Amino acid sequence: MSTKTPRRSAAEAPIGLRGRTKRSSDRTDVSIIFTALALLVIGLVMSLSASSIVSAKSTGSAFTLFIRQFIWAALGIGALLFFWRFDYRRLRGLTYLLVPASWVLLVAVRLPGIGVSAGGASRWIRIGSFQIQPSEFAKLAIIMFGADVLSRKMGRLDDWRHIAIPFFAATAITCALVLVQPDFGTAMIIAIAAMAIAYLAGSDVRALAGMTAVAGILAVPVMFGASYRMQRFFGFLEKGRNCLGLAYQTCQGLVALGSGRWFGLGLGSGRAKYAFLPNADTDYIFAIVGEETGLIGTLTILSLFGLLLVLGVRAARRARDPFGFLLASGITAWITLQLLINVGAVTGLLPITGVPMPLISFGGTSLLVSLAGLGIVASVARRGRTPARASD
Amino acid sequence: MSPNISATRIAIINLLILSLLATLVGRLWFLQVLSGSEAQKLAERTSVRTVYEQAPRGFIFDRDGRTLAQNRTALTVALDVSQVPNSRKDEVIGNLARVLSMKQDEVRNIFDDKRLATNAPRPIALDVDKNVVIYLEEHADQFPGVTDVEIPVREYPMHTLASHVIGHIGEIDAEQLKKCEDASNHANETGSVRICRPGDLVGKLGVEKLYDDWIAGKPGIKQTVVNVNGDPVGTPTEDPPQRGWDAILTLDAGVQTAAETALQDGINFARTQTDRDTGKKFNAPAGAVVAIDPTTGDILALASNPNFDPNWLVGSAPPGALAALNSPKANMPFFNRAISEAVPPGSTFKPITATASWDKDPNLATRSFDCPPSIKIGDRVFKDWQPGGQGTLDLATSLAQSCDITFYNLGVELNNKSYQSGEHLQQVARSFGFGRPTDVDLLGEAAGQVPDAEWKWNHFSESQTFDRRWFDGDAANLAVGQGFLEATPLQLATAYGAIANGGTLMRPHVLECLAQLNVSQATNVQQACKNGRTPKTAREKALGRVNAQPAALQYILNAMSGTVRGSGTAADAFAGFPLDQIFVAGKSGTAQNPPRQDSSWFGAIAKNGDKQIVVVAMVEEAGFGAQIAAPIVRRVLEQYYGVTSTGFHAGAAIKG
Repeated sequence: MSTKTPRRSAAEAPIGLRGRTKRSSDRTDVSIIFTALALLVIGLVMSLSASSIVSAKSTGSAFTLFIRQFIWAALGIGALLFFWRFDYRRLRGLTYLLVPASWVLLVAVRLPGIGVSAGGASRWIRIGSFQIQPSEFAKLAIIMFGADVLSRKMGRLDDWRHIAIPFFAATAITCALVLVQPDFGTAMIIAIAAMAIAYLAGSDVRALAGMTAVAGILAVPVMFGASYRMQRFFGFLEKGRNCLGLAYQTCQGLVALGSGRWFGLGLGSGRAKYAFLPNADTDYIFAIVGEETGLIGTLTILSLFGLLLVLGVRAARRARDPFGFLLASGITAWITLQLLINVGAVTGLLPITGVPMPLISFGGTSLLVSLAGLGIVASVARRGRTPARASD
Repeated sequence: MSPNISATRIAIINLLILSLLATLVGRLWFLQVLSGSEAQKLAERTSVRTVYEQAPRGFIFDRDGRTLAQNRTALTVALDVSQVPNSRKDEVIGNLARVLSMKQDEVRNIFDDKRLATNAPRPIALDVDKNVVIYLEEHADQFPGVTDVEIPVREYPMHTLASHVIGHIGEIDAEQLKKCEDASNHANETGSVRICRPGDLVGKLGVEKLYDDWIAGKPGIKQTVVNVNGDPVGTPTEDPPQRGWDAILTLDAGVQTAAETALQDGINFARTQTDRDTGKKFNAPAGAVVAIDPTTGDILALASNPNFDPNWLVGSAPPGALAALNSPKANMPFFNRAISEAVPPGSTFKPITATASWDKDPNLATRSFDCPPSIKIGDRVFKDWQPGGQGTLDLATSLAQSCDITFYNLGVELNNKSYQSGEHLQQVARSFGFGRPTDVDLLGEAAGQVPDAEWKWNHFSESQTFDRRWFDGDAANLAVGQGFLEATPLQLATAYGAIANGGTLMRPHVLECLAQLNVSQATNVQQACKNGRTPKTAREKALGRVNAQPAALQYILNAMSGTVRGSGTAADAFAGFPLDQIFVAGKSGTAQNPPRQDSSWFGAIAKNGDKQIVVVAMVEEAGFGAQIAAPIVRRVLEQYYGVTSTGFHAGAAIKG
């Protein structure tokens, strides 16, 4: 990709002219792009290392899975750059379409001939030789929808009904469709991101707390409804005591992380991926990072995500309009939350919910949608107000 | 929008997430640096690889220690699929198929069988020629992962002999696997827990199946500690396989051989004879012979024809042999006709009718019976088998000459409601074991059927053509073992056993005991049984007392001895047999079972001091009992008593 400073041209003149102040010292948008690309490169390297064994076993070549991921990454970079240059305000018109469209896709995973099931879950749709995961689109759709609806309703959000209709209602439908796949982790991320947007939009805290409590009570039977979720939950509680049985994945993950020490065993030298550690290339890739690159590697990744958080918050604060503010903060909250939940599980602090690590984990749709989302945040930053005016 | 609220709130969320990130940093520091050395040790630690080894199955012996089932080793080509690179899979499959003369799909199916362990060689072909193995070794580069191993194979040295009793083994199916897993937390009758794994060879039929828990033994479990690279560390722990129990059967291989040979001879002869009723040759498609010791219930021989060679079902079948066994032309060779086929027993049932009549008429023995060519019962004419009738006879002669008219009359007399509700014959028949399984330790036994008024009423409730009511004619048919009465050869043998032993119905059984023999000196099996076990299903057990007076049983036993001498129906069949040394009582039967041809039955009780035996033979669609079944029974008796034999000789064509 080009490292040149992007030029702004007359062709992409903004909708409003207020944001066209010169921003010679503020390169927030470019920083977001570079941070995202840095994480993407780390992710690709780790994907190659972690997926090579699984790939060799299932396809005969260590590179088959990596090449597929590489194609997705190329598409993702395109999306990142496109949304960065694209004026986010034009997305407003799309938001009403996106949510129902994501529902259609979420239902389609159940249709024979279109949907693909794996490991007891129906989460994918087949398009040609690629599979897409509609629940990843649904995340972004809900955030964009929330940013649009709530920014229009700002000032009226001390009435819980304005929060609930239509935003929380739409969120509830999306969550329900994701839960039946079943994909508890993604549903949880969607719910928390929606809650975060509503909070940032100035919703009445008591109303939010009330609705959170209701959602929490509804979630309990789902949480314990499936036996594997119970096992995972108790596996999380028993961590470290028993490396076989319930806590097997947790324990193998901790062993892999811990054996990395300061500098790791070296890229490609990890042993956990040789069938010891399930999902080494997806949800548990962070354990391989820890094993092969040590604390240096894991802290580098966490620092880069910390940087993304700081940059995302800065983009939100300087947003030109409430829509941009909610959009940037919502997407940033989603990406960092997903990171926290993933790393929390791998380090044994949280139950395993099967959530991939943004930008790093194997999985094409997740990669594409995360990069598109960060492109939108960069777009908000690019069209934001100058730092000097941010404090007024 | 209120910027202040938003600014505060985004600061709160920002701080929250940052502090959570900081927590993770701390956690990583703890995991990777502070307690990392512990994890490093754990990572060096090892896993346990478990390899199961199926135990050698116990052998099966006859009552004198002759081997009926054993194990041999077969030179086998096996393939360790984990050694075959993916890119060479098709090539290896093709090469193996060519060298072993197999179809590529056969090899591929074994290659892709997900149920088998990936780290252990899986057998591709059994009994491979030594030269083929040498070729494979010489061209090892073309055959990665291919090895030759000697694996144990079940062998049935007597081939078809007693195949229905011995049964065979085969690969465990899903149902058996599930049953085994369901029982995986408690010990079975053998005192240990059965361990089953996919691909195990287990009993599928006969003794091999019924006593599989005993015969199978206990698999060996070898546990190897391996490090992260899969290399073994330290010494493996090994729990060696325990050989299964040997099954010692009550069968006498000599008697069994005589029974099967004579049965085949009888069938072959019957097929040369013309059926006077249909004008065609007899079909004689199948038959059965049962021989039991009436005092213990020991089954000395149990033959069913057609039969099969169990070796064919354990991987040693000639090409096409299995398909032939399963074709309709083979006429169900796996079906055990001795215990599973219930058909009308015909005149062989007459002794039961006689005992029932004895209760009703104390003077039965001194009565005389007219035996005209036919009588009319209701509006139907019932004929004697002898077109001219047989004059005036007593009960004993009626049995020996099988006069139908006498028994039609007795049946009608017993059908009088004033005596035991007219059901006495049925009650006596049930006490002799008819209409219920004998509880023999073989699978698939038929219950047979004793018809009465209630049964007929219910059975024909939907019928338009049959009258549901029970008539005197039905009773007359029942009295001569016809109509709706159905019995298996084993049921008849068990009932005759009760006549022979003075009235006790003994449960028949094929297993003598389970023992752990030293294979190399399996001579004294009776001694081995003293240290062995007898499962509940094989214990000597009286099923009950028959509902008959001892005097009646004694009279009928003597009367039946008239069948094989003088004017008896089977006198010709037993001509030259040393009846002066060996007491023989018998009864012939020519059972009608329309629209099929008549079946040939004969049952005999023989005694020479304590050496007693009951033999029943039945040949389907083979005509007269005296002509076909009686000489088969004679041949079995000759073998049992060591009488010099000249083989099977058809008896006179007498229908009774």
